[in-house]
Amino acid sequence: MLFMGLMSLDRPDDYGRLSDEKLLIKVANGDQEAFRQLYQNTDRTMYSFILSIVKNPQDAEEIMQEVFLKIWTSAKSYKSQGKPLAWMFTIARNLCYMKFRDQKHDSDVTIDDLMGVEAGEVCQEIEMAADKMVLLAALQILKEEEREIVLLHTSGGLKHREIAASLNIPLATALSKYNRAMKKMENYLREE
Amino acid sequence: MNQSDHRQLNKKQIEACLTSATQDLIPDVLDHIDLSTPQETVELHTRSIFVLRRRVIASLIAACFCMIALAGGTYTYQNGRVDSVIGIDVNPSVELSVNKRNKVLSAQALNEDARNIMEQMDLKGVDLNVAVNAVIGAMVTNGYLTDADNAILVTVANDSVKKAKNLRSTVVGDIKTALKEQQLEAVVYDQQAIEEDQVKSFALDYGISYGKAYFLKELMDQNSSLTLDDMKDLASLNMEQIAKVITERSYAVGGRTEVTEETKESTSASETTTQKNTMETVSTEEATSTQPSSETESQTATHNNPTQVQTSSATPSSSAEEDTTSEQDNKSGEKIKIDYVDYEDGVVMVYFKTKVKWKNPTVSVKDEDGNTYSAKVSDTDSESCEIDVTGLSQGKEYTFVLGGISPKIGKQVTVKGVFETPVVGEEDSESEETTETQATTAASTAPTETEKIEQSTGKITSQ
Repeated sequence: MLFMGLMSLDRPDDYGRLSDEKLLIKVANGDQEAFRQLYQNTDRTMYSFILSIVKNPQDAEEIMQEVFLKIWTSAKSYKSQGKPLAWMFTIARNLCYMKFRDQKHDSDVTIDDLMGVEAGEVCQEIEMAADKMVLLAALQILKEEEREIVLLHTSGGLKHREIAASLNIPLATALSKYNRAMKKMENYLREE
Repeated sequence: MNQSDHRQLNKKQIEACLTSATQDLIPDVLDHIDLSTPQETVELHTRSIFVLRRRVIASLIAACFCMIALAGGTYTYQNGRVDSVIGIDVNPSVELSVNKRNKVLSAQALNEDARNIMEQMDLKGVDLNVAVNAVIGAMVTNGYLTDADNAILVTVANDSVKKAKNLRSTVVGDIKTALKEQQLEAVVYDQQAIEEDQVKSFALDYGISYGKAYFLKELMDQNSSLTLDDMKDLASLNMEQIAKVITERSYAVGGRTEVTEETKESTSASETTTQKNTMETVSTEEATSTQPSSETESQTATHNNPTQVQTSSATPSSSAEEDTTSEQDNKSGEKIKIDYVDYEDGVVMVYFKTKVKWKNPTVSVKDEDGNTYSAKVSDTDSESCEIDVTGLSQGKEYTFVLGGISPKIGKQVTVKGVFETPVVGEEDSESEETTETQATTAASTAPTETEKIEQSTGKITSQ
């Protein structure tokens, strides 16, 4: 009894210490608390990743909601490989691409239109001018993979090692790509 | 921030900027996520993979079925398609449609008599020889084929002349066997038919089978003494009676029609003749000249295609000239037509209706007895050629065969023609002829066009 009581008491605290992998397994069993914990652990990373793909905060928010719902509903299909983030990224990437497809399908929006909308919205939402400029620059001049690596490291707070593992690329590649991207940013911002 | 600030940004600052910029953007969507949404079960997921696999397998199976269906369909189509039509006319006229494998697809009774005998028979899907046997058997039982004079007309229609020929001989063989079994004899006329609208309407008009109509049309073509009225009379007769008329009046039965006679002595049919189709080259001129006793019908019947015949009277010629007309066919259907042939003082001039090409021209000249004369082609051009020939005697007929000649488009062929040397001082005689080369085979041309086989009362050959 005491043991059970301890278990129930310890639970919330416990979750904070559990790895994403373990949380995901609990989520697979329908544990809503585990899901909340997983969300808190990964929201920054996931948002950064999604933003790096869609380049639009509004779309990113929408997609983030879909991604987490998808993580909830299909958690059972996760096969433990020690890379829960990679699995979550896959879901996010698929949903992002699906979004692109829908957009392409829904209207004849040209790339220029998308860029314009994107820039405008970013302008509205980002208050601090310097940060905004830098983020915009990053979204504009970097390639998709570079954006992923940069944003996951800076705003997602992931270590290079974690990025490499989650994106299934060698650590050296992740590092060099990150450094090259940052050089690009520096040059770009200097010219501007 | 102004531009100078940007210039100062280093890597660390950029990182910081990015971090802070997104920090504020990160939304809290946790509350928007509906956790009451049921989670997909693992079973569901595995099933989805399974379903996917099953779908692939199903589509593969479907593809297999499609191929089988296609192959089967083609096979069935091939088997269900009428390849040849065989008409059997005694008086009952029966038409058997067979497929490629000689299976009967349908058996049609074309007149009342035929309906009588076909009533109890179901020949569908039966082998052709069995069907023929059955039909002949039924005709015997119903008294259409009797001990007395019998005549059967077999008509085979097939797109391929070769196939029709084979089928024809098979059917005739079958009929003969059937008749032998019944201890009967009959004259079997058999022919290959091609579809002609004129004949079709003729058949419809007189309520006779296509085969019979075709037979009569052939008969009329070859015996110009026969009028349309005669045809009407003949149409109302049955084959036996027609056979009698033919033998009585000695009409030419030519073309593809082959008249075979049962080996046993058949009194009335003893005069019928058998002409093999393999006699590719038949010069009507020769035929008539070797048959002095021919009736008028036979003589005039030979000109099956009057447009190709020119008489010498059309050409103003001296007494020393003789004009002849020859026609040439070759295997590919390309024709070299001889316009006319002149003979004067040891030089034969051959004029062609169509343009020709030459390559190492050769020529041989023979007389009726087969003696060869020295001859050479002395000059050639695209429309004519000159042949020097020596040693010919007056007033005789000679045959020449040109080699190394080809139509403008087509393979090399040989051209055969006939000319006569004039008797000096005599009025020029007229001759008309149609020759055909040995190169012409049954396979290449419509049966009725090229092969005319002369039958005469004087000379009868029996098979």
